[in-house]
Amino acid sequence: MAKKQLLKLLAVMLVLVLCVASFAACSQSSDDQEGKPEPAEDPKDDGKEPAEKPQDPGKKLTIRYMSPATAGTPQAEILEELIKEFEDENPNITLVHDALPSAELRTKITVEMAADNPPHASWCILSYAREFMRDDKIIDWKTVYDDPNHKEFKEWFDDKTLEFSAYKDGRLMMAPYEASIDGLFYNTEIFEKYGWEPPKTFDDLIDIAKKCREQGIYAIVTGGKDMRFAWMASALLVRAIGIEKATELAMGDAITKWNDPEYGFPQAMEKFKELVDAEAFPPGTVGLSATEADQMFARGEAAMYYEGQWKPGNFLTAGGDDFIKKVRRVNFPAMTDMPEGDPDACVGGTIVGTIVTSNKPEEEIQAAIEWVKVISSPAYYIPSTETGQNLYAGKAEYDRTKPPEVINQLYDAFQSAPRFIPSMDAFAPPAVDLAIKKTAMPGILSGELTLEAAIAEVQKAAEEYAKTLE
Amino acid sequence: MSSIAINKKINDNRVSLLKVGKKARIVIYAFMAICSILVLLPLLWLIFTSLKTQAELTQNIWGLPKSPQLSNYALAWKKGRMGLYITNSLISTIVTIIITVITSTTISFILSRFTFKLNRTIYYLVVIGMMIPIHAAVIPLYIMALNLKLQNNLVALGFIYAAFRIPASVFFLESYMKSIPKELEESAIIDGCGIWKTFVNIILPLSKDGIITIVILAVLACWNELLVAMLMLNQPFIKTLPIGLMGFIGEYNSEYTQLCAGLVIACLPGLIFYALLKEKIVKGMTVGAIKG
Repeated sequence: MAKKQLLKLLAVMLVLVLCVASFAACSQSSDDQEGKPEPAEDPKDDGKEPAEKPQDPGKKLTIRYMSPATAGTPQAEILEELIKEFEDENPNITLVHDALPSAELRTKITVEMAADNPPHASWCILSYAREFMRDDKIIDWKTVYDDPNHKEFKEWFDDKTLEFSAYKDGRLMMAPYEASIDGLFYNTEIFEKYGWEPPKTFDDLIDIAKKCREQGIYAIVTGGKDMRFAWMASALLVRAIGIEKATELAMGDAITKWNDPEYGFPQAMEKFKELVDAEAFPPGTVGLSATEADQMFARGEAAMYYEGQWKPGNFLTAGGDDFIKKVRRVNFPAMTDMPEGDPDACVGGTIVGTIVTSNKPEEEIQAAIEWVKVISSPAYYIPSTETGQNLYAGKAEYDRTKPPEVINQLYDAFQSAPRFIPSMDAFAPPAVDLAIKKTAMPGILSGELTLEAAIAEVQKAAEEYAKTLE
Repeated sequence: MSSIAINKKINDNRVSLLKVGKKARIVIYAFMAICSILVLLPLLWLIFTSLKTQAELTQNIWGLPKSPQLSNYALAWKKGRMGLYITNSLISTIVTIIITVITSTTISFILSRFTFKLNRTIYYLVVIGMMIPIHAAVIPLYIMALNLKLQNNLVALGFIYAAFRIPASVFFLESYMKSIPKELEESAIIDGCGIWKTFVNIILPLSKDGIITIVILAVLACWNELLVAMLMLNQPFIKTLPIGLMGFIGEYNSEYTQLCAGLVIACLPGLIFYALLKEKIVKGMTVGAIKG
């Protein structure tokens, strides 16, 4: 009996010890917090001298950098070489490259920010950077650009590009990474065959959609399953109401006015419905992956494709060299019946960049900035531009004979664009962006939602987001 | 239900199938052939795609590859670090299996064979874990792993997976062990076995089919797990297979032919596992299905 009781007592004690251990590990004790490095303070507040390069050259530092350049991509190979060079030049720094596809990267960085253990530097999109800046989790790049130790940033980029990520109080959230610009890509072979001109106005676009149906093809294809509607949503909005009101709606005081025609979103969705009604999109677009959409475009089953500057790289993969030679780009068509709309603004700008987190020791932050300098440099991005994969946001010239012509068109359009509006995923709060590209636009496309119901879904998401700000 | 009874039931079913008429048999075989095609078609498509070029995939999605591109396999193996990631996945899976089996069998044995006051309370406390989705626990789990310095540790990852497998395994094994006749245990005790010997020599061998079932479920769960592995592992050389496969899907460009080659390679350990343990797996699954 006594033995049994002893066993019971031991079992109860074991359970108690396990519970206490679990709670201790779960909780963030004050001791833990004390053990962590203090967040780097803003030099402009304390009047410190601009930070020097890593202060103790003998001290071993490990810097973690997160990017979407995953192992199989062309960017990864260039990046691996740059990492090796960087480590050779800075023998006290070890750079850990944590590569994940962008959707997974966003999940991971959100969890790591919440757990106060983010990477030193990371690829980031504007809307996420805004949330991190609001919580003081990332450094202000303004002080870096003003630092003579980092003068390269001003040599490579103009002020417009450097200040693309201004937070509402003037702090700068990210360092430039790549140039983003939209394009209504079209297959010249189809247009020449039928004697069509690329659309200049929205009415032209509807007209081409109808002509395409007569020829048994479709006007536009997009990856509905992958929710590739963020760029078109911004294009429709800016053409309907202009940049100022669109910005007020997505980021300003009008955040809960998505159902108000004064801010243009209902008109933008109405135009989208016009495209759907004209059978511009193939049936089943909602279930098409971006790759399947690329393949349809490459097979000539769709005459046009609307999205960002990376698409030529996808078209090259889907259709090969012969196909990419046939692709050209024009601006998204103007809406002649929308007097407040902006007919010239482009979707894009510099909507992704690199953030550096602020809760690390100063020498690690400086080492991370040195690394960001490497990946913002022409050495990293020019090869991508020349192979037709992407565009560099800086001033450096590249060999225009190397990439396909559509890349040169994109580069020129980026350089000459009068104004930019970010794509919806970089612009609107993440919850609102998801409501647009996951619910509203696919709902209209599939016929599951009426125009009013689709707008109401977005309005609801915006109101819920606004409540969290209170 | 003992394994002898199950085999008898299976044999009875076989006999009854032979008795059906010719027409009915044609219908049954046609139905089974359709089912087989439905199962095999995606696998065949995967193999064909893994042997095409990207351009060929665009032009000819469903057809046979014109000239098989074995280089996709070489590239997937090298660029995707498949060998390394398979080893890493194996390590975390083996740890998961060991921890799950040791803890689940011992907990289930105590809960099913002993009567004590807190028996049901402990049982419900353990199985309530089944109701906690792994996604709901990621932030506390991440903080715990961080505080205990268990990041970038494949063994620790195996412990985490095991923690999420234990509730379901105990739920299954406890009822399985309950169905073992008490008389066997009593005979063992009369023959001089203690608790430990009874557990090792009597209960464990009789629970073999049930243990195989929980092992299969554990393998399936952790071989394909992405979210926790992605959060817990940061180093490029300490990643698991699902993260490695995601590497073929880039921000702007995806290497689908290489991804398919990688998927074929990733399927191989599972196929070998199935080929080696086919009979036991089928038995384990059927025991779970018709236990009474």
